[in-house]
Amino acid sequence: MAGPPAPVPLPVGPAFIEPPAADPTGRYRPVPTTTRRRWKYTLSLLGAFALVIGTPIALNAALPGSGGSYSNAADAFSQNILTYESWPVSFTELDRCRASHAQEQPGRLRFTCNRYSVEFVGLDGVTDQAVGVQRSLRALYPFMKFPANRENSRAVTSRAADRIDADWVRSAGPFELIDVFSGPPSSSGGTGSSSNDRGTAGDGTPDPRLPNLPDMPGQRFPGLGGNDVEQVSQRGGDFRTATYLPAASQHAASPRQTWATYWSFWREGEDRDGKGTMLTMIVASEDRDVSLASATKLAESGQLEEE
Amino acid sequence: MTSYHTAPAYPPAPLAPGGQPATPAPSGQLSPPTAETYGVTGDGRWLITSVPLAFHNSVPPQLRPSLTLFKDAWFWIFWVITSFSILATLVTLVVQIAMSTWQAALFSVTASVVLAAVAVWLLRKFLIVQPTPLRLALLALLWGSTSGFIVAVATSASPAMELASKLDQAWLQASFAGALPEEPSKALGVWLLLSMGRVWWTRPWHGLVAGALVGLGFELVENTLYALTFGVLDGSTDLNGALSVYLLRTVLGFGLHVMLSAMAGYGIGWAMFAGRHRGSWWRLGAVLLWGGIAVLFHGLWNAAWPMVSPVVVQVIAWIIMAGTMVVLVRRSTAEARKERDAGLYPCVTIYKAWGK
Repeated sequence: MAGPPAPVPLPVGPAFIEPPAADPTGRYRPVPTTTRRRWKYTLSLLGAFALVIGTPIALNAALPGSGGSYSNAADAFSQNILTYESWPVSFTELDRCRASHAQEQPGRLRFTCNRYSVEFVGLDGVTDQAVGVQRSLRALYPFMKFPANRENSRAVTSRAADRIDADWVRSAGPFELIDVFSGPPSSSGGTGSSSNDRGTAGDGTPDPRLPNLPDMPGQRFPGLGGNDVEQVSQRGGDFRTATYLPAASQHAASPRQTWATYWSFWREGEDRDGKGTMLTMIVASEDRDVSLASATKLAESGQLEEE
Repeated sequence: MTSYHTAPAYPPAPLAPGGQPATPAPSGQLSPPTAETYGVTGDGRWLITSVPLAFHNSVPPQLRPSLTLFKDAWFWIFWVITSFSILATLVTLVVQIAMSTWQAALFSVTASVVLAAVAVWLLRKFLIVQPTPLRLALLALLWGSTSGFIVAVATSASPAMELASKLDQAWLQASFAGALPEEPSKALGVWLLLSMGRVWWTRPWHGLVAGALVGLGFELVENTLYALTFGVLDGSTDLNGALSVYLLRTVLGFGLHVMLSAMAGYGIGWAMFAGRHRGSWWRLGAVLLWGGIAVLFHGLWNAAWPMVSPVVVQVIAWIIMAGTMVVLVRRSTAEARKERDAGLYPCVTIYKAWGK
C-alpha cells in the first residue's frame, strides 16, 4: 500500500503572496456574515416565507365551512376521472350525493351519500376485462381484500350497460371489506371464509388466468382479487353467470364491518384494437343490503353525457 | 495581509488598536472596514477574501485554505429539515411502491437517477455553473427531492387546496396547492444552499444554478411519485402505466420545476450577491419579482382551465418560461465570460473567522 503523498515543495520566492482580487470593482458582495446583516436577511427570509406559506393557511382558517363540493356529478367526473373525456359517463342517482373538491387520490372520485359512499375509477387501455376489474379494485382499495362472502342470487340487468353504451358489464358483491394489514374480522366477528378466497370459481376451481397475470395484487396479498364473477353481461347476447356458495356466517354482526358491491363497465375503443375503457364503481356501506341495493340503483341511473 | 504562503487559510493581519486591520485590504478592495464586503467585516469577526479559482489551485494544497461548506446555524437548519424530509420521502415512496409493483418502482426510480446524473453532467458544462462542486450539486438535488416536496406538503398544500374550494374556484385547486407551497419551499432551499455553499457560489447567477438543481430534484421525485400513483390506473400493467406517465411528464412538462426554481433562484441570487450599490428594497424586490413569476407560471400550469384546453395554456406558459430562461442564461453567461476573460472567474470566496 502506498504511503502518504510526499509533501509538495514550497515555491521559491517571496514569503508573502498577495492574492489577486476576484472582484476588484466591488460589483458583487459576499453572503451576509456580520451579525446585523445576517439577522436582517434571516428576518426578511422568514417573513417572506411565512407570508407566502401562512397567507393561505390564515385565509382558509378565516373562511367558514370545510371546503366546497361539486355542484353536479358530471363536473366531478370531468375533473377527476381520467377516462371521462373518451367516455363521458355520469349517474343521476349521484345528484343526492356530495363529492368534495378535495379528493384524496388523483384519478379516483368519491361521493358521500346518505347511507353509503361510492368511489369511481376509470382505466384506459383495458384489453382483458378480468384484469381490468382487478386493477380497478386495487386502485380504489389497495390494501383491502375481497373475501368470499357474497350474494349469489341477483337479477342480471343489461339495462345499466345499455344506458351508458357499455359493451360489457360485471357486478359482484356485497363483499365484506377486509384490511390486509388487520386481517379478516372472522377471527372475532365470525364471518367465515370459503375456498373462493384465492380467486376460484364457485366450484373451487382456481381461475386459470390468475396465476399467470403480472401485476396482479392477488399475488402479493393473498385473498385479494380473484375472478369472482357474479354477473357478467356482454353485448350481443353472450352472457354467463357463475354461482358461488354463500358464506355460512356472512350476516354475523361486527362493529366495523363494511360491505362493498362493485360494478364494472367496459366499452371497446373506437379503433377496435381490442383496447377499451373501463369504469368501475364500488359502493360501500355498513349495511350490506344498502350496499347491494344502492349499487344497483346507481348502476341503473347511468347516463351518457354528450361526447 | 492575506497571504497564501505563510500559513493556510489566510493568516490574520495584525490589528491596529480598535480592531481595524493595520494594513489595507488587498488592492482593489478599498471599501471602508465598517461595511461588509471583502476584507475584514465591520464587526471585526470575519476576513473575507475572494480570489480566482485558478490562483487558488496554483497554490500548494497544504498552503491554501480548504474549500468547505460554511457551517453556521443555517447549515444545521438545512440538515434538520432535510433529515426529517428524507425519512418522510422514503415512507411516501415505500407506500407508493407497496401499492404498485416492483417493476414499476424499479423503472421509475432508475429513470430518475439516470436523468439526474445526465442532467447534472450537462449542467456542469455551462460556464455559469462553475465552480460548483459535485457535493453542492448533490445537496441541491437532495433538498429538491426531499425537503422541497415535504415542506410543501407539511405546510400549506392542504389548506391552499381547501381555500380554492371554499372560494368556489375548484379549477384553481391544483394551482393553489402546487404553486403556493412548493415555490417557497424550493426557494428556501436555494437560500440555505447559497448560504452553505458561499465559498463556491459567489455570483448572482449562482442563485439560478442552485434553483435549477433544486428544481431538478423536485421534478424527478415528483415524476417518480406520479408514475407510481397513476401507473396503477393503466388498463394492463403498472409498468406500462408508470412508463407512459413518466415519459409523458418528462416530455410534455420538460424541465418545468427546473425553470420555475431557477427563476426564483435568480432573484435570490441577486438579492444575495448584488453589489453595495443596490439597496435593501431593490434586493427584496428581486426576490418578490422572480419568486412571483415562478408562482404565477406554476399556477398557470396547474390550473384546470374551464374554458380553454389546459394543454394550450401549458404550451404557451412553457414557451414563455423557456424563452425567459434562455435570456437569463445568455445574459449571465455573457457577464461570466467577461469576468473569465479578465481572469476573475470562476472564483472562490474564503470566509475566515477573524475574532474581535
